[in-house]
Amino acid sequence: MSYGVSRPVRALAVPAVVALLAAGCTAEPTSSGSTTPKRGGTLTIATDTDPGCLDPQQSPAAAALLTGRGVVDSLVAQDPTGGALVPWLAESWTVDQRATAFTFKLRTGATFSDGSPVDAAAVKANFDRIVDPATKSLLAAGLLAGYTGTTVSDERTVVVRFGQPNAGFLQAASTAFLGLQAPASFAAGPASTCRAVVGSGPFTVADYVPQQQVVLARRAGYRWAPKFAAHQDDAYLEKVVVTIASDNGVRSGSLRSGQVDAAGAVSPRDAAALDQDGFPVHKREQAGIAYSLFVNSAKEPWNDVALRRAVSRAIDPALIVKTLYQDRYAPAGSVLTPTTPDYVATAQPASAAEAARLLDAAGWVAGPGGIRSKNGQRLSLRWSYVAPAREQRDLLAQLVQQQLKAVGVEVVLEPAPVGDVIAKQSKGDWEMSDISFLRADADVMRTVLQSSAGGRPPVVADQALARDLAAGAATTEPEARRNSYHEAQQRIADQALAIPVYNPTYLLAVNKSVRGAGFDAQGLPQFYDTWVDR
Amino acid sequence: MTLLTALQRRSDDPRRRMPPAAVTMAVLVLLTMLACVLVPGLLAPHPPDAVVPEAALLPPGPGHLLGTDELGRDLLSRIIHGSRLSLVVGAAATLLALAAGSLVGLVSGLFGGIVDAVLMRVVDIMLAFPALLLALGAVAVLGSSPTRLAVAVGVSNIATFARLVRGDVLRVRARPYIKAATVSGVRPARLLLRHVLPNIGGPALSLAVLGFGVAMLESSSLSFLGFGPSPPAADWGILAAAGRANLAEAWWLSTFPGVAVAVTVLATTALGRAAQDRLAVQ
Repeated sequence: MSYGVSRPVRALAVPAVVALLAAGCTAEPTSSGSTTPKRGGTLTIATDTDPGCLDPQQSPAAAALLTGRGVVDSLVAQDPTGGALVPWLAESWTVDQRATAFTFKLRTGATFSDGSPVDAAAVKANFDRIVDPATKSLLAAGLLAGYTGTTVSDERTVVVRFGQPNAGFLQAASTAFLGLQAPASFAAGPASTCRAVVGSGPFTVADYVPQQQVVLARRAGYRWAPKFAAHQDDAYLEKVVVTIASDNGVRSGSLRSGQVDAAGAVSPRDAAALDQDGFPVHKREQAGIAYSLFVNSAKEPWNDVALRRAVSRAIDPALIVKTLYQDRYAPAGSVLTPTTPDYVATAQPASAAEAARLLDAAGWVAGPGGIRSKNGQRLSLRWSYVAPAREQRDLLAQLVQQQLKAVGVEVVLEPAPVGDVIAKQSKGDWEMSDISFLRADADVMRTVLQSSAGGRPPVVADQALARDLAAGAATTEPEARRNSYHEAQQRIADQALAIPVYNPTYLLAVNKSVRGAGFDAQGLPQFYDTWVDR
Repeated sequence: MTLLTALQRRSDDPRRRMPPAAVTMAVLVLLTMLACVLVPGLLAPHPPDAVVPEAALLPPGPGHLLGTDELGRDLLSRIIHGSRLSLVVGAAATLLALAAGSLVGLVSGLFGGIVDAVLMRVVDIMLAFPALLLALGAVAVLGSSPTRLAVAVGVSNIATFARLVRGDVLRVRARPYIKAATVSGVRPARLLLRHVLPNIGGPALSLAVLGFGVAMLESSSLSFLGFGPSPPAADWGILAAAGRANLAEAWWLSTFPGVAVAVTVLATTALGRAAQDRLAVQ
């Protein structure tokens, strides 16, 4: 690229710039522009991670959900405000007493973008495919744990059956992970749907260049948006270009320079600056497991609940979010985030004095360097975390290390590649770990934190908790579920099985021409109701 | 430019020699660094790990001469405390390379024949790879800790020293006094220690001074890439890497650790060149 301008051109350029400036002065401020949605145009959004595989039935990545949500529809839809489950591809459903058989009545007229109908046979083909080991599903198959089969009753009626109660299935069915894809697209094998997902959504996958961009194109004739959407009918945007830029600075810089219309997963520090410079920042607390720390209760001496309680009281989430996230993320109130249904606040205020009292009472006394020990054993926690870290979690680890050192607990930090961290954790070779997880249902505690339900480490082993979570999964009665999940959260807090730190929050910065930007129930940006005013 | 070519381009031209002022500056810089390594607590204005949320990302100013990081930690204090890791790893790596390289070079030069051929082909292979790439491979296999970092960087520089020492041994071996000693029945070990080693030490040592700068640069590079000591300990490479995330709004975070590396490497290079000049004159 050349920055040099030859002489004759420069002579022309000056008046042109003056003319532009003058035009800029007289133009209406864009914020008071049109409020009637305009059709057409392209939205370019920069996001942080490449999905690797676009197919949400295979990939567990949030990035696959971000693009997948526009392409696949689900049987039911979850309202982003309130979390209620409403009809989508299924117009009604019934659940048996034990939450093992789910009967869906499909709506008429919905079609996949390849023209084939969304019928009962398609539902069966999808669920059978997800649990098929050949699909190598990393997350969706876990949501169908205990699946015994789907029965096609007639063209519009299916029964999905489980061998064990799975009340969380209804919400799981609303995620793009269990979204319906055209059965014909399965024929070419799992690798082909990684590159192009064929669904019944308002967009289709037009192009995918790994590590660079995903292009979604509007589909004509879309008539089955969920009721809570701001409009029915086709999507406003003609095209959505999702570009991938892992660097925070590059994403916010591209937004400032006008290369993109929106920047996703903006860092809190960038968000503050963008806000000041007139780029609206949309914010949504994500549903699911809050970013939490875990101390391995199966390991000596951490099987002592007093020690875990001490660690939990010594860590100060309020100070952490203030220091690292400028209070743009909220300190966690429970192992679930507040946007998750059946959330209940359980957090106790941080208190170094109380932590020290608990440790003293347990017989751990400060030795050389201020680190406590008992019978010659140092009070030390090894923490292997994923590096490079997102959301400044590496700095968070150093803050936690400091806060625990202040009460005499040593933390040895071992940043490592994600594969190494998971390998160690699956062998049970861990003392401290961290995790956050996206899913708008309290059942996420069972599927993520419990090994019996296929959860990956950190795994929480506790009989009373297991009973509460099983009870929650065994009933569709809202009152009973709420009680079970409230008890589960209290139990986790009381036994210090998890130490919630902050609520992961999606920050989406846009330029002023972007309208109707919002989030789905999982807390990821949606594109269906979004439009550009230019 | 490799170390060897740097050494071979000896400044026979007096006008290209290191000016005395530069040498004095270099010595002063290195003495300051040495003080940082020995008594960081006395020199650093703040504790290196003291978190002060209110003071996060302050630009360089009176309270914090080099500014603060995202957690409000004083950058100057962190650089002073980080000097120990950076310089000690660099020094240890150089010593290792010097010792092992000299041994290989001596053996190769003295015994000649098949031993020389085999050893030098191995050295050729090692020289064919950039030292940083070798070190990267070594540290990926060994794992990351300051000791392993020093070993990895040291091993990657053995070949340079081996080649230099072998050449000098061959040069010295052809001298009449060595022949005389051999003829008068001096044993190989004594021949090596009394007659060969003293006459080849100079070039190897001046290469070591130059090599120290390079070793430090390499270890900082590896730390920068994530193979350094574990947090909160931070050498200059880690500090520079950590600052990248906020480069746009906090330029000082990556800049000053980088300047510390650059200044130290320049100072050792100046000193190494000065040492060569003296040797060339002699």
